[in-house]
Amino acid sequence: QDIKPRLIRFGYGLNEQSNQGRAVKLFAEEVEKASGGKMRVRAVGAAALGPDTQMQQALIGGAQEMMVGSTATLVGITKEMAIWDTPFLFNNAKEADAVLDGPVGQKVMDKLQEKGLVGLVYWENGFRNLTNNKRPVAKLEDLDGIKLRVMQNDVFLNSFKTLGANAVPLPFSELFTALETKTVDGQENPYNTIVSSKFYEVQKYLTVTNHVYSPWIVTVSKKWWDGLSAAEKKVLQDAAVKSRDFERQDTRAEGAKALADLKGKGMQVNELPPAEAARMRDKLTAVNAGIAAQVGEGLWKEVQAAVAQARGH
Amino acid sequence: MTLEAQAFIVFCLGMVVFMGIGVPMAFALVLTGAGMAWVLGFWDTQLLAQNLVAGVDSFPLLAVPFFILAGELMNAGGISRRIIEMARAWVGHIQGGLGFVTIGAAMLMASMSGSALADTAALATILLPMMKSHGYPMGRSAGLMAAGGIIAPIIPPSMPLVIYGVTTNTSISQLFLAGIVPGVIMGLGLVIAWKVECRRLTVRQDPPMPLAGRLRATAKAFWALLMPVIIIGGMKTGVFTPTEAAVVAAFYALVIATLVHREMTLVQLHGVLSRAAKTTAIVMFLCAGAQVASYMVTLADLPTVLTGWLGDLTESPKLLMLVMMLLLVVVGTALDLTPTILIFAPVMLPIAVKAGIDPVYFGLMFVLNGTIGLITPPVGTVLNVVAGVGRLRLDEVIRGVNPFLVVYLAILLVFVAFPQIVIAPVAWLR
Amino acid sequence: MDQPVSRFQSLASHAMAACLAVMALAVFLNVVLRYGFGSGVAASEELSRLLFVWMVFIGATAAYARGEHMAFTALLRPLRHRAFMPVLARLIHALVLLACGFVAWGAWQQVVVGLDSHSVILKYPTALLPLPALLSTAAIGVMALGNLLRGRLPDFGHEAEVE
Ligand code: NA
Ligand code: NA
Repeated sequence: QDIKPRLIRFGYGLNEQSNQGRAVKLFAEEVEKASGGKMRVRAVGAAALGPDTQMQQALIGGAQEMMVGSTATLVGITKEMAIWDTPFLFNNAKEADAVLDGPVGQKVMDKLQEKGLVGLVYWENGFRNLTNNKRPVAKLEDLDGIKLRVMQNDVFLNSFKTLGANAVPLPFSELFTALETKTVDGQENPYNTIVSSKFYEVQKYLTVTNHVYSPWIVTVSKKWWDGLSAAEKKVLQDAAVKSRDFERQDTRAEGAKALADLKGKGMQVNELPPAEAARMRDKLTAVNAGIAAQVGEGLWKEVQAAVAQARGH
Repeated sequence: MTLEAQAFIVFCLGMVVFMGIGVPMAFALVLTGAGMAWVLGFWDTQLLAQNLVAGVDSFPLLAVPFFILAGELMNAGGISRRIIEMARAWVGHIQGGLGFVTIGAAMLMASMSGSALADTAALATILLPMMKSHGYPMGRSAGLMAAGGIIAPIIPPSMPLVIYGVTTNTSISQLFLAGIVPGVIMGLGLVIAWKVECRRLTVRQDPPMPLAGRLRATAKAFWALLMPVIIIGGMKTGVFTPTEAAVVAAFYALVIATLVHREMTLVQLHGVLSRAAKTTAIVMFLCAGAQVASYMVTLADLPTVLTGWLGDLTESPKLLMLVMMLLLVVVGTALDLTPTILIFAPVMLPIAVKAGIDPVYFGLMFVLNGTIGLITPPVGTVLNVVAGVGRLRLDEVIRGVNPFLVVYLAILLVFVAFPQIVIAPVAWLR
Repeated sequence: MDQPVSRFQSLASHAMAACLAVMALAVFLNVVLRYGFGSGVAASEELSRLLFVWMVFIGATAAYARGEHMAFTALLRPLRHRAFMPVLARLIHALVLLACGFVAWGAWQQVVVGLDSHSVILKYPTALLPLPALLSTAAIGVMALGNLLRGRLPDFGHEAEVE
């Protein structure tokens, strides 16, 4: 077998005890097992190798071998990644899995290669949900006047502005304090983040909006990847697929537990009715047109077709 | 020997050798980081360059130039002078009055400015000549200026607390809240020490000022006194975050200086801006270099290695705290505050947290200790400033500061023995 | 100080003042927009961070030319008249040159990598982040080389300018 001793420096943003950390650990174990201990993964969490954007540049330059991070931070490198920022693109995890793991998901991932990155698999960060201190959001109009923190990203900013919220861009590092001192009324993140960042301490209402599905993506430095043998590439690819299946299951279990936790901590939880989600989606036509223009009409249609197919239409 | 232990040796050697022979610290830190990268199998010049940039590519750190700017504007726009004049109107006439004026003005200015050097310079420029003409002993008076000036980084806002918060990922707003009570205690400690000192003094006293005069002086300082209310109040009620508080403070000082006091022209503004930028660049370039080293410190997991070596000591938080504080006092004699934070905080905080010490309490204690280092010889930057402004010999100032230094060290010990004095108010103020 | 040096100093000082003014305006604008109008500019943070990085590296270059970087000279000062001082000074300049060489080479590679990536909001090329590090360390490296060849003695008395 054509496998050489290799050290793989693998960076990620959350800590070792998170769903991300557990999946990286599994990946590391699988790689060592499949390579007979020759390929070793040095996993470094808690953003100790820097934020996503810094690691991406290190991968492209060949200063680091692997990482997992948000697809949203890759938009500056590969504009097609913006497709996954589309609000209300998927209704459930099943649709997301089918599209991301299908040909169109692979096609978007392959675009990274022109920029010096190789995408292996998509992991799940989760559906983003809304918390705030003003009122339960049961219909579109309830968003009116809520001062909502959004990521510093124009798609999110414009989406929530269009929906009537006072969307305010703010760095994540300042978010907890801003919620605590009521600089902003609310924020939106997956359940796991709401629990791990203790937002329940400073937020009253949680609305299950599932308004955006956030994937993570496992990437490899192309400079380094091109020097690997076919056998070595297969070891990484297989381990990545195993880690993906484990990560999604683990994340979903943790998400369900997190939701129960949040209820237990006294958050008032309500679900956004599908009819209201549909009204919001209709209102976002202009935002969607902007995304379609950015990623290209062709890709936009392909993704919509793949979603329709996943829904069984 | 494990990789981590080798990296630790490289870290220590790099720091001691490169810095000891006088390589500018930022470059010494880059070289140390490079050496550790080599040992750890992370050698790549791209990582050095990336981290040098990442060390300053941070939004919370913007508070540093903004607070420096606010301090410069306060001094240029007559805000500091009005505060001192008000303090003089109220307490100038009592026995040793100008000393109490110094302490009162130092505390008020501390609640507006985040920089010990700027505050000390303003205090010494205005008050030292006054004290000289009233017959106060210069060494002791200069010592009091230095001791009063270093309250600035403890009472919020505070530049060193911002740098500490960013370096160690500790909540800056909580660090700010934690500084209020210790800062006031420092001021009270100075009052007591000065009371003891001035029993032996025979100096000329100001005649007591009539109430109308006092009120007039207070009214003149009104806009200046509103500044801490805006900063702390704005942060507490959520109008802005700590970083934004800094920029609001700068704009407020600008408006007061140009439109209300009319003591500054827009031409002067350019000078103020470029002075603040220059000062910032020197401090921040050090942050940049430190990021290269601390990136490798994190990779080598030095805190865990050290915790292992410390063994039983980590079982007793108070004893551990005492040992770390003593170490920092020694470090503080020779090293300035910013490099102390950048080099030691990332290594020591994880050890403290593992031993169960409250991170906000630890942060405040760390910065308090490093701040005291600004008035300990041989390297005490604040002492240099006072000596420079007052045209005094350094050893005269060093002798003058001694009683106040003793008071501060005693306060530090009390806070080690009774952490609640620092911790309880934070919970209450939130 | 000769002509080009002082011209660089004054240019640097203008550029830094401009950076700081724009940073302050950008951050202040967001406070006003959020408090007064419940909105904000997404670009404000990205812009002010980029300007901050440039300001620091421009300032660091100018500060090196003035010999104002913080250094620990307590051990050195009493020995300043010793015969070995010129040798030690050359060693210091050589070490600064080495550090600058490492960083400049790494920053150059990152500039090349960053030409093809863009920031999320302003869409500026990511190369603009490592670029000031490249320019600054290259300039400091050249100055350090000059100091090395001339054997210039280190500056004393710049322990720190601020706390
Ligand atoms: Na202060
Ligand atoms: Na000292």
